[in-house]
Amino acid sequence: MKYFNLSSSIYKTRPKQDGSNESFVNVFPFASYSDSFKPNTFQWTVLNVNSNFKNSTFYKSYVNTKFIGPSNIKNPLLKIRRLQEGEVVFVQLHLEASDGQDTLSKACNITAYRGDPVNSPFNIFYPKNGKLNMETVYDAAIEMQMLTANFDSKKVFPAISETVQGSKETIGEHLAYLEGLDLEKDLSPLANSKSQKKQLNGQEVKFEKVNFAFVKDELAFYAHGRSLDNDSIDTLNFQNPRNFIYTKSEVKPEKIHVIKAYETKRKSQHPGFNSFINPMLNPYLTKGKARVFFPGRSGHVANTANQGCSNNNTTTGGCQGYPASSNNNTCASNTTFSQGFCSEQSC
Amino acid sequence: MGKPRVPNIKLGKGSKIKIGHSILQNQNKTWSETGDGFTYTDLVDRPDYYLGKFAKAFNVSYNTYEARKDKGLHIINPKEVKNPNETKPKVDISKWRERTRLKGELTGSILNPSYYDNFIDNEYKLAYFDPHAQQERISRPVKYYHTCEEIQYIIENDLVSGVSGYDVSSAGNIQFPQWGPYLIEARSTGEYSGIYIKPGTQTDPEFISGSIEGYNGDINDYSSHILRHYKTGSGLIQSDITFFEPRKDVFVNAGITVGIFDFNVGTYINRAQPVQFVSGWNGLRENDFFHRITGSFYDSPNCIMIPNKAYKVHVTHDINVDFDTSLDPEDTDKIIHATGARPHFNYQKAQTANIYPGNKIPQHFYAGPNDYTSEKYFQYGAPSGFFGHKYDSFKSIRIKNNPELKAFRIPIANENCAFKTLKSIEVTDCANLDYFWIHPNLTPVLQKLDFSGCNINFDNYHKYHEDQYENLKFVKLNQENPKINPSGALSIEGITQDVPDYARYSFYNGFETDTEKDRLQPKGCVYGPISNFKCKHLNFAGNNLNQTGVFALVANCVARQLEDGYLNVSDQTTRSGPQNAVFNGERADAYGGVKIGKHDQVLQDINNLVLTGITILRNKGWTVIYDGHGAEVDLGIGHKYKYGK
Repeated sequence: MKYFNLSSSIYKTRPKQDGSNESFVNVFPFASYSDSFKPNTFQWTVLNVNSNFKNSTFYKSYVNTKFIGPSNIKNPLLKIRRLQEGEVVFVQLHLEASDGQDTLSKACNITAYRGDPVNSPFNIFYPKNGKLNMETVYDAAIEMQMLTANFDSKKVFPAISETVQGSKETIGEHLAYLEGLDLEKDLSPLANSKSQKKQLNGQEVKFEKVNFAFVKDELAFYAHGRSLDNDSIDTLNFQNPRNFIYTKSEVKPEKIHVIKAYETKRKSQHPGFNSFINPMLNPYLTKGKARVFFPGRSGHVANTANQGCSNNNTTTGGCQGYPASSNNNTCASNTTFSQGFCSEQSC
Repeated sequence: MGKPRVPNIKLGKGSKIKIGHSILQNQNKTWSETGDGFTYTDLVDRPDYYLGKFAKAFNVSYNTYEARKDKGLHIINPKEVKNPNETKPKVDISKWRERTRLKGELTGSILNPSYYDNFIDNEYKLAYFDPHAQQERISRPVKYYHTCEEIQYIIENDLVSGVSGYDVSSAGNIQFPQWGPYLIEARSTGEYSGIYIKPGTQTDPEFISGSIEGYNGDINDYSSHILRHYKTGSGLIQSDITFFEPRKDVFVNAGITVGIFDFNVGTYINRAQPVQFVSGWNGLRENDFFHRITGSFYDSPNCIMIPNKAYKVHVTHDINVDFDTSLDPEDTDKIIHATGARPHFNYQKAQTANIYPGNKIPQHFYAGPNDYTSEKYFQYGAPSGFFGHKYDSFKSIRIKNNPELKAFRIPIANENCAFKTLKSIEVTDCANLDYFWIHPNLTPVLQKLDFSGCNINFDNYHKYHEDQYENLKFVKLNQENPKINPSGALSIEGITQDVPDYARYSFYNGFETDTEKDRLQPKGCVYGPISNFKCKHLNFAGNNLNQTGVFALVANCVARQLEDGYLNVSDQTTRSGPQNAVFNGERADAYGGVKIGKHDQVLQDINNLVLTGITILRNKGWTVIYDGHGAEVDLGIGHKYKYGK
């Protein structure tokens, strides 16, 4: 059977001699071909570029990509440029390969980051008493998003339908849900914490664990902050990470969190400077349900070589770079709600 | 038209009708063909009747016997069964055995494990042309399984370092740090040709090889090169599984699962690809329920294929029945007709058995006399220490006559090198090795421990015991649940010892991976070097043990309650005074006449205590070799010695 595989990869920009970090990184995409498929023509294309700074409240992304040399060779070199400190860029790379008889294609995620990845907040809007309210929230831990990209998930490149607020839980709904939680229930041990029981119409029923997708304090993502040093982990002897999320009565520390944190520390030490620290995520945030894309942000497909702009050059940021092939290639920088927040109708 | 399965009909909440055993039986109505109608009530009253009729009419088979006698019992681990109706887990070994009996037995192995030596033994050398010295530098041998950090270590120590040097990282995938590809980047901008593989140094390029290619950089850019490995050859992998299948009514699939690592992309393209060896009804061959099947397959191009587990799957038959209308619990008078039935297969993984757990290729490590050098084994801590490895895995470790070796220590960070695979450690005639420690959780399958001819003294043990010698006693470790405090255990939580510098290990990204103190044992485990239940061969002859050091070993063996073992504590370096590890029945006051026991109730000292332990072991069939005599001395307690308090 003819097939090929593309590897999703993580790259970190190089440290410079003065201690700062470079703003670019060279990327080598990896492909593997089945024995029966020996392609002789290749075409690499950047499909999407996303960034944790894209449409964020405090940041703006200027990242772009460019192939060094031709993009129609077996092993091309892609340069990702203009990364800012703390920025994490997700590049969706596409390969179309042909052996003269069959043409196959596949896409992968390339993650590039500079310095310490940051969690970038964004604004979300919801109606309240006939007025439009705004909250500044975080979606998911950036480390979680990087892992998601590395596991080849396409969710770091959301479809437009997923990025409009109408299809998502609003912060108002979310906060109301939090208030309705039964905090007296013992959720330990961790292995059983995926579901909770709740009184509903006089009956105890099981329901899925709460999806804490939006948080207002980024530290709620982590059990002990973002550090993996022993002092940080030892704080778990005195606090319970659940208290970062719940707002009612505090719960006591649990030793299992310390054990889990040390395990995380031990296992997340991968070799190589491309590796990043993967701290222990808050066990009371549902990992599987975290919104690993960037909600409320523009899901616009970025420019590619055949769709305007310069050759092999892709730019992110706000609503720029909407493909020329779309029905409407213009987009107001400030749309219905505010900066960096595009609704489907407006674009 | 609804097509629910029978008899697994979902009735919805609040229904009082039960399925499986009728409450109100209507025995008068019969069914024989499609034209015969029935009601919902008929169906749920006599599901077995209708199921049999449907099966016969539509010629579809199904399993009548379901091994669910212990349904409702949730097995937490092999020794603990929890009844969900109870608040606390309940240990119920009989239920576990029943489940085991129903599932049978399964083992798996590789018949030609030497095939994987091709991946372990082959190597190549890197080179660098020094423009200043105008000469080529050549590295030590590089293994194809080295991590990026180890390759960087080689480059820095053998080829080039400092600002002119290179950084090496896993190129891309952070999950799989071995086998490549690797990214080699210059530390400063400019045009560099970089590192290259020295031609002619690849030991078996027909089977496995490597190449470096990339971008040479410019005045504003760093040179970046990719080091790739290729498995250029091919091989036949032969595997063998044996299983006992007690159930007669199930269709059985059995085989192995294979992890497939693709060198090109540096990741597993499949972590558990099933390769089926046998499929059929049980009992059809050999007229019994034992089966042994050998299967073989060729590996994929440019991939390592590692059999990680043997598996056995039970396939049971069920029936999907088609009705001409939906089944409605609210409309129990509606006439329903069965129009057809189709087979439905349930696949249940009955058992798995490890072959190469974690997709690691465990190796038999051997370093001969004066062969354990930094040149060859720096990644394990050579020459002064052996610390295992975070990613390499061992079946056995043999280091012989290497006087530079001072410490053998496997910290928890290197758990993958030993856990589930390491069965034998033989570090012999290493005269300066005085620090030995393995994290207690890492040796569940260790069977042999031979440190004869070293310099181990277990200082930590007798220091501790000298402080609390009145508490010296034998304990009995609970084999079925080691986490439970053993009977008679001392309060020993948190006892640690300082780790000397030469016994500390630091690798991988400069993170603090090692600890400054080693726990002597976790809470509830017996004191001593080993806490597993398989190690019955301990040879510490010719070391530097004193009496409490020997006691630690004897007590350790006693507590684990194993039979027919071997313990050698003879020929210890002579020490002065009562610490001399020679035991006989004539000395009763090894501690200068101090009687042990808070109320002088029992006159025992370390000497007599060790002899008692030896008696206990011999009564269990152990061979114990020690210096002295008097193991048969009658202390009034002898083999009837009671453990602990």
